[in-house]
Amino acid sequence: MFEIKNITMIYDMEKEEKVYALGGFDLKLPDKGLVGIIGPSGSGKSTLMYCLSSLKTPTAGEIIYNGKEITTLKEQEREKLRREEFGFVFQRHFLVPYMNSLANVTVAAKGKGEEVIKRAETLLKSLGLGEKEMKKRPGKLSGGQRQRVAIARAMMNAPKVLFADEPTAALDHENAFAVMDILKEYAKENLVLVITHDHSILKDADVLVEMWDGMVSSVKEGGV
Amino acid sequence: MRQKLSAMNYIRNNKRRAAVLIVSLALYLVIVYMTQFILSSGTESFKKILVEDTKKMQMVQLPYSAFGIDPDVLGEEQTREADMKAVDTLMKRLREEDGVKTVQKVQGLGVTIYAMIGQYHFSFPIGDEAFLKTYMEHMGATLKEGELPDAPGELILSDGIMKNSGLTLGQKLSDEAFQIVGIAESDSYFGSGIQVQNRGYSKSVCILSDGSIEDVGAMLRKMGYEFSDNEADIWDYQTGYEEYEDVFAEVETPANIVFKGVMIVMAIMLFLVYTTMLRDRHGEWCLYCSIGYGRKAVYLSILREMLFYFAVAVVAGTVLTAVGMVAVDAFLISPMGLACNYTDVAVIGEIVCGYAVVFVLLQLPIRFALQKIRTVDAMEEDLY
Repeated sequence: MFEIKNITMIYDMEKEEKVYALGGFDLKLPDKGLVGIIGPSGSGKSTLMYCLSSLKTPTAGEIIYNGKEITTLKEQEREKLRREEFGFVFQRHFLVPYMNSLANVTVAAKGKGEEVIKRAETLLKSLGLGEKEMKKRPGKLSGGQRQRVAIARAMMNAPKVLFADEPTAALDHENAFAVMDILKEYAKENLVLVITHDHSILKDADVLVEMWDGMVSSVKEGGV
Repeated sequence: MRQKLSAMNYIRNNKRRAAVLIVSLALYLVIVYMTQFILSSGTESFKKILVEDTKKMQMVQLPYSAFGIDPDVLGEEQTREADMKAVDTLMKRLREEDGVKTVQKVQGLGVTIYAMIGQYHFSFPIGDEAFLKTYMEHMGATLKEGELPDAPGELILSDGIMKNSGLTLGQKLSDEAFQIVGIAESDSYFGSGIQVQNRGYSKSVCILSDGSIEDVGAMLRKMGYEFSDNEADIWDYQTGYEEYEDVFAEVETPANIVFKGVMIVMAIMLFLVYTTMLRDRHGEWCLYCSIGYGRKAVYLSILREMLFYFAVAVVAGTVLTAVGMVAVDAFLISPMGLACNYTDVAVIGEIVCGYAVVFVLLQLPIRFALQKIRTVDAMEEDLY
């Protein structure tokens, strides 16, 4: 699904000491499955995810998604791609404070009406949120609950690729594994990219990409 | 596939904030339109007297000099005789003029119409019984209550004058020589009666015309009478319209102050409230842009929200104004016998312009907020 060729991302281009967030590497990702990207802070994990999801344009290199080079797409085409094919779980949940959990999930749904609401409710239930929590605003939810709402929102439009940046960071181990089970289930038919520091949650990953200092240090089939 | 961001999400979940904007916008309409409505009780009422009636009835009183009479040479008695003759001649000549239906020597009786803001004093003609009937017919007035005057000092006044002055049928005026014996049905401020003798000779001439005579002064000058505007006492469409414009200008100034003051206060208030509202939504819009909704989609959703506020405000403002106008008319304007204007196109235009100004003004914080939108990747970088 993704074919990355010589991807390079340089910050502070105008400065003498350039910062290489991505140092120029090749990588191939499958059409479906759970792909874990691990590495220490500053290794370039998030930058890679943002480049793959078209939020950032790399300084050099190619990202081919389903046969299409996405780094050269116009802004509107990139927006369409993010809207229609990708789902996001960011490090911070970015929930809309004035909407309840259910509305936060349906907020950017492709359709509308009862079907959308039912799907959102099913997703929230599968992530362990009850009827009560669905009516609560983010301010009244715990950190873990907020993150689960953000995951439900990411899965709302059934994206072909789901990008998850530290999706279990705010969850206890039990909840973290429950979330990973859901992502794993979702990865059976779609591609799920999970960035994390926590090796333990990637035991079931189909592909594990390790990053170090802006480069891919290893790519392993199977989990940790 | 839906590619629009719902405008109703914010409104549904922030009813209080939405209500503040809607109420502010609606209040602008209510205050401005109600102000014009209340002020119109003066302009509309005075318009009847000064603009409409003066097309049908004119009154003129010329100075001695216009007839070539010099009181210093002739003395009091001879001056009076010469003046009466001259007035008779004037009337005879006027009857020959185009557009003149009836000419009659009359006395004038003053009346003051009090509007909610401002007042206007004018005189109505009183003559003999025959003139009264002709005059009533000419002005389209009919007897509504009481009886027609048939004795000196008896008056018939329209409902409007009666209500405005708080008079009742049978009541005597402060000048006890006059008593109200009849109430007339009339669209205007009609008044007339039978003149009282021994009140000096009447030299005022009343002309009942077909509506084509607008400038009696010009007509008299054309007939050869020479006089200055200050010396002559002329009541016609020309002078009436000038006075109406003066009255209108007097009313227009406070009205404009209210209109502009309300608009400035509203614009500042909305600007502040709206800017605060937008600031609170920065994260939300950054999220939308990150998950594939561009700035344009965000802007269009804001625009739809705003149009909703304006639409609801206009509907609510119109309903409130309509109810307010009916109430003010029923409890204040009609009991005072005043007229009013429910539909003022010029003020509606001002309100539309006011809304347009506010709409454009609110684009500034929106543009500023849109420029500040970044996708989540840029926001995450700020954390490090």
